[in-house]
Amino acid sequence: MIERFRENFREEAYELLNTLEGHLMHLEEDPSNGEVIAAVFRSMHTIKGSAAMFGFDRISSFTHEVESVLDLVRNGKLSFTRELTGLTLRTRDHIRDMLEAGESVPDELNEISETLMNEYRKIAGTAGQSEPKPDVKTAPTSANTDKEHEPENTYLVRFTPNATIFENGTNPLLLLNELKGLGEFSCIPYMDRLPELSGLDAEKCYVSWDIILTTRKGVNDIRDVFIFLEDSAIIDVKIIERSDLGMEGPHKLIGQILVDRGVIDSDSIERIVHSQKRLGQLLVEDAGVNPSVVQSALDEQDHLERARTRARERVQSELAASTIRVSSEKLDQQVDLVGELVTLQARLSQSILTLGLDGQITAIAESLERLTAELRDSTMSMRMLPIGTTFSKFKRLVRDLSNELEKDIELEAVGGETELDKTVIERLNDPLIHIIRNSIDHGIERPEQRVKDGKLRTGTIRLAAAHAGAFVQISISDNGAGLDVEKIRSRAIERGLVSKDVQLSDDEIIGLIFAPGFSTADVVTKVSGRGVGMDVVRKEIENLGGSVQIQSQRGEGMTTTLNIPLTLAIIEGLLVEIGGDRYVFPLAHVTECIELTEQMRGEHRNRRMIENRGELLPYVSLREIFAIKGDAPDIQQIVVANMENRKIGFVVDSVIGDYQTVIKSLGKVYHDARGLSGATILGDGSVALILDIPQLSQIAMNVAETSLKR
Amino acid sequence: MSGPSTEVGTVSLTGDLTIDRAATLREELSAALKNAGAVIVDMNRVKSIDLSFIQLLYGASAEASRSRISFSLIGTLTPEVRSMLEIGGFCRHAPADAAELESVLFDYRTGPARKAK
Repeated sequence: MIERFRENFREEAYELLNTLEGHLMHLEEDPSNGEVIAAVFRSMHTIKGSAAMFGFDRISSFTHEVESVLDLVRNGKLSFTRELTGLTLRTRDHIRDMLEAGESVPDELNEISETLMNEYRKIAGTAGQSEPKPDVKTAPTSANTDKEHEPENTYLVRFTPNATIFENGTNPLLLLNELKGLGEFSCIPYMDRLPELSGLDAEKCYVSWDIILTTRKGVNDIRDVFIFLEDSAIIDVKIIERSDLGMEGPHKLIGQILVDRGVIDSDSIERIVHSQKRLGQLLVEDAGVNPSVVQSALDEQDHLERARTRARERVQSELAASTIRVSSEKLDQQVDLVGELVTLQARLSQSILTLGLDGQITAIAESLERLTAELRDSTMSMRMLPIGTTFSKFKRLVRDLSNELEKDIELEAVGGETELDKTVIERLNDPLIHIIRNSIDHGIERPEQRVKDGKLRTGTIRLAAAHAGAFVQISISDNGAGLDVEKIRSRAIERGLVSKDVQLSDDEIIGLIFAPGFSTADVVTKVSGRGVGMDVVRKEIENLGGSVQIQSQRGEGMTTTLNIPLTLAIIEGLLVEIGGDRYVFPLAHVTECIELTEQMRGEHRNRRMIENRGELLPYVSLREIFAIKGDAPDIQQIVVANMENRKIGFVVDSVIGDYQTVIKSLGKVYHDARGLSGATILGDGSVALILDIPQLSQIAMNVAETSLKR
Repeated sequence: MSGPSTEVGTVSLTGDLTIDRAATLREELSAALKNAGAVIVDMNRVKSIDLSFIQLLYGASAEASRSRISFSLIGTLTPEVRSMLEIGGFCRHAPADAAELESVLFDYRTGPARKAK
């Protein structure tokens, strides 16, 4: 039992570490973002707490130290420097290593813990020297976090120091700073008692404050800040808004606030509201209200508005966080079951059709069909994750690798909210890393070179994701040197990939970097430096049913575009028949279907070309490719597929129609089967094979070329 | 010397402007306001401040305003100085430099401590 909980803890911790990484990368760009700093602190705190609960004591004690430094940051006593971010990133990696090590943490990991802790202590130590020492009683950090679930209230604190407050060494500003540490804080000084310089006693205090504070702390905690001032100041604390009440009501109007404070009665407010000028101005002019009082009321209004917005955001994020953890295995099982259901439902519809039943049973079948479709969509959506979850990992990659290579590179990520099937995201990871590494390693030039070329010192890699129909388009662009087409060409000739006399367009030459022979380390360093494993990238993307395109402009950079299908489990297919067996074309690749008659075959001297929409369309017979015996019907159909802007026709006996295809893998035995990517079970219980269009296109090209040579 | 002076008096402040030095600083500022037609307070070398100094600035600024003496602040403010001004609510955001602080003082002379929205 405990083992299972520990496993859960580990999973959760890995997730937290990933979030932490994302937040740290965010802080590197925006080091003073309070929300993110608080989130970093919370992640560390949660890891600490659960580690202790499940007996990962080393992790717990280590994170405890880290947490106390992060608390200094959270309380504004330290700032998130690049150094601290770097250190915390290393810490994150270290915690991951400790998690992996499990109970028996090896000595070298403990040594690393010690080193990291020392570095933290050093940073915390310098903070202690340069910053004003916090009052002892504000320090306890655990109290802060324990109160996390207390409701948040907004208080008005009136702080009127006696004129002699300086005498006992009190600095009122430090007290305000302490209050600021308790929550969302705004304050307004009242300066009306302050005389001109000639009448001013430099050692007396003339200022008082209205402070509006939204915090989870209670009145006593607030009073505690002023604990040593019993006799030397007037402190008045009252609640002006409770977060658990009246969140939905309108914001307090300034008049209401002033009436509440007893500054003015509501009749006077009413009278003034009816005139044209702004209320604040009128209050000062007509009602003789002290301008500072109006300002203070405006501040309160402002403050409450901010506090509510934050509270609303928090409620939303808490809602978003009210999730349950389900293992992806169970989800996969669910998808399988829904797949079966879709199949069964198709069989039902088909049986009703063949049996000629109608009336009530048809209505039931139709309702079932609708319901099944909804269930399918909702099940698929459970496996959808925003691709942004992987983006932060790439930020880290860019950060580390560019530091290592002494380059100045920024990663810009847009469209992180784009959702993709979990499995697809996982399988995209390696190809994306590959492409981004290439951009860092060979695309973006060194800073000196960039300046010499008249470019910005800092290179940019842009990662963008967006939906495009049933596909997600992911593009990785850099503003580096771009590909050297001439070098690729000469290298390809050298390697015997193309013959010397062939005239190739730039795009065709760029396409050569996908050739398997083009991906050795040798090529990387001596020739273009590009093309590292690009064949592997393409293969992986094509396995996902997607495609890769590259655009490059010498000197300006290059863009790699990946088109990835949204999901791998269920696709829209086009069902066709060849020799009594059924096959499925993924509909995403199909552009149209045309009839192929005997007469059309005769044209173009049996060269397997027909004229379609003013273009010559090469076609191949799937009967021949799959060596299917028997005679073809007189009129066949050509399914036209589009692969990387080239159209190819596939001849089939007949086209049956579109079909919701639940993809089943063919299993290891058939993993060599060319031109097939899987199978599906049809409504009548029979099996249809799913065609692998990219592979078939390749086969078709070869066939077409040989037939041309004949 | 009779009549309003046209001379510009510069008060260069250095180090920690805290309560221990408040009385001296008051004299310095006072002297500058008496003897010059325009006062420039150079805050470039100020390391830190506390409330006593902020009061002096406001008081000096008010007096200068009444006596029609131009009163300006120049210099870059250290983070400590900026954060004290922000914490005390004297500026809505920590002022970027002394000139920004000066406009806050100006707003004070002409209306509420901070401008109403």
